Amino acid sequence: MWQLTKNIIQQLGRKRPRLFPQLISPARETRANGDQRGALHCSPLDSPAPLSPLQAAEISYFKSKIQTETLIPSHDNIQQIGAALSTKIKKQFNRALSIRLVDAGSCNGCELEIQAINNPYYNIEQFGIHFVASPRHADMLLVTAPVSKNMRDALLKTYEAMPFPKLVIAIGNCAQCGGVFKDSYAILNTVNEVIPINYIIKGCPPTPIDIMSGILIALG
Amino acid sequence: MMDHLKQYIIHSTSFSNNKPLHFLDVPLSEQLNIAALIKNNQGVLLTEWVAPNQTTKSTHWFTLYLLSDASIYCVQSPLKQTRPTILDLSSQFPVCNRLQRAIYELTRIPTRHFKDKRYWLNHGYFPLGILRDNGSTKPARTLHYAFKKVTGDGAHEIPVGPVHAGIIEPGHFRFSVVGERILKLEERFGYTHKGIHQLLKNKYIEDASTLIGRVSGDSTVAYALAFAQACEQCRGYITNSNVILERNIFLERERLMNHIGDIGAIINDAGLPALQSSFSCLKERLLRYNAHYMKHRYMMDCITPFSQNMRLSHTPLKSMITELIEIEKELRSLHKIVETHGGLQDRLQTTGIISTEQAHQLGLLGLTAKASGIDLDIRCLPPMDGITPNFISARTTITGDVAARVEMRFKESFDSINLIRKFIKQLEANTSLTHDHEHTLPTKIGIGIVEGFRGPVTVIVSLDNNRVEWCHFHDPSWQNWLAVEYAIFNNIVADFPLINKSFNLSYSGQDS
Ligand code: SF4
Repeated sequence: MWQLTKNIIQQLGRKRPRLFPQLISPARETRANGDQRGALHCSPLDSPAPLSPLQAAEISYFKSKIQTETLIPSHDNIQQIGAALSTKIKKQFNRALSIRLVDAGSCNGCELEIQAINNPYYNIEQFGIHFVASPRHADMLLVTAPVSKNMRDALLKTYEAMPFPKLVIAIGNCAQCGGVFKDSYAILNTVNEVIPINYIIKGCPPTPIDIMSGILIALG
Repeated sequence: MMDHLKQYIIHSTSFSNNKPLHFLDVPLSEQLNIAALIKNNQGVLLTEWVAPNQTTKSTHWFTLYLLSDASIYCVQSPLKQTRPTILDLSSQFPVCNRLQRAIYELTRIPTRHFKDKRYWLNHGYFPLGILRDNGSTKPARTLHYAFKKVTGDGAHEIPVGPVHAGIIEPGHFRFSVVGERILKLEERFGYTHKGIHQLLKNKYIEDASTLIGRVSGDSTVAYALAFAQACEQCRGYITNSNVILERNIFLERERLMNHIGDIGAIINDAGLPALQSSFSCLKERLLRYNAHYMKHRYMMDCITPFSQNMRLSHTPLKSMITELIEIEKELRSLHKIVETHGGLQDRLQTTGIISTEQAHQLGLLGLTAKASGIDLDIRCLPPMDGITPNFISARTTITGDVAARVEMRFKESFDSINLIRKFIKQLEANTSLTHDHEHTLPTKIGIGIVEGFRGPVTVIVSLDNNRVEWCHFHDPSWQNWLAVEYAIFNNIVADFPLINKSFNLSYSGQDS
């Protein structure tokens, strides 16, 4: 029995997507009036690395489908991403992906959008994703940043309490480079300084569709 | 009473829709009397702060008060050059305990005869006095934070946080309980401290506006608007009336969507997730319309000082009217369900009570105060010239329990819908644009106060050309977090999430 579990763990371990910065979110960056506020002052180091053809194909698929400005996004869009999510989750996580959220010092904007993916429009639970109350039950950690120095220990402890595969997704421009709070005395500029992250979903805040497609890409 | 204050007035001006604002210059020792006077006249403290004054090269201590029937008073006193100290106002306004600790950590200016030496925002990871101009910081102690202990037969503690079970912000709660009953709750915050005060120093006005819109993501419009008002007052600049109307539409939309979301969350914690989903659908619809009109779901960066980032054209205004009709219709039917659902009301009523007396003692603000029968709405202050009409009239409920806070949210939501309609009508009538023009009186510091969905959001700013010299902002959550400590008394632990949600206060807003 133990051997079996170990095999599964190893397999899951292998499935783990490559670490940041190989993957970069397809999320829309341009904001109101086409400026990039909130993504201010990111150094060139943070800019996207080249993608593999497969990832590029996947991303262009989403890019064409992401609707951020239409009044009522077509239901299919959510359903398509959702269907892809369910298939992956069925295979890799035995039908249920448990997510734990840690707010490591965000402005609360990112939390609002994470709450939104649970509303009936997106209803992410129908695709097998649910939010759990303890890191010990979680396959994936969502971190909303910037990581304030006061929250550093709590974030680290949460990460340590998680079982493998310890997938980590960081949410928001603040997670990437500190966003508008970059270089403050009270924050760490990237989540990477505390725990290894697999993927960053950009945006300030990223829309629910961005978050859903981000989770999908992070699953590999 | 007014006469006593009048002798100190150095100048008066108006803000937002012609509300009066008086600047007072008083000697330091007089501050205690003024605080007592304001407290006796049912006033509240909005915020206190210390900041440098470039012209006199000295440090000033500001206290900002709101009197319901009169106006806003900004009282400032110069501090001593060597070893400056401020005075302890916490006996009048309990929130000063936390504010004074925060002021000491950021500026190293202590409070005279103040016993509580525990750090509030600083958990020992960065030096004290980071805001001092000469950069003389001092390393922080990393001491154990001593919570006040409750002893006795069967009394024990439950620590919760900083990481919570739901999708919410971090903060620590220490419950002292006997069996199921809560004897005492003590809060500890500061986890999301991001050092925004320091970041704002020397920022270009436009960047500062982006940053201040992210103090608390759910009140981004309120913060950006308060900042814009403060900057414009500083320059003596009057924006054209259409821009003001549009900004108010944004503000009311923000209030509407947050209240709807909050009611849903409270109902969910009372055990009716199916009903909550109706509310979250409504909220999502509002968000999508926001994205449609304003290119951002939460309307971040839509307001900038001296101009407007997003203008509403004719078409969105038309569709907003039909949108609001739908929303109102649904909200009314949901209101009926909430009002008449026996099981739900049973859970909400008499839970987490804050009496009017308590609300006054604690100096509560905004929605929490209104639910306990104290109306201190910035939008309802009498105008300076006596003619400018107020957009809305005061509303309160008196019971002060969770049910009252839900009811208050409904009332404010319907008010917001009506207000937006009114604004749209005015916008459409205002075909000839009034032009922006310079006002005659630029001031040294500008103050912007905006009634956000939680209560008055305050921003005080001093400008230096096109940069911010210093800026202070204040969230009503500072005051209202005290109410949670009192509301929970004698309730059971299992009701804490419900009571906490009924206030829905900002962690980031008070920590930043
Ligand atoms: S990315 Fe934007 S919304 Fe998210 S925490 Fe940072 S500032 Fe707030």
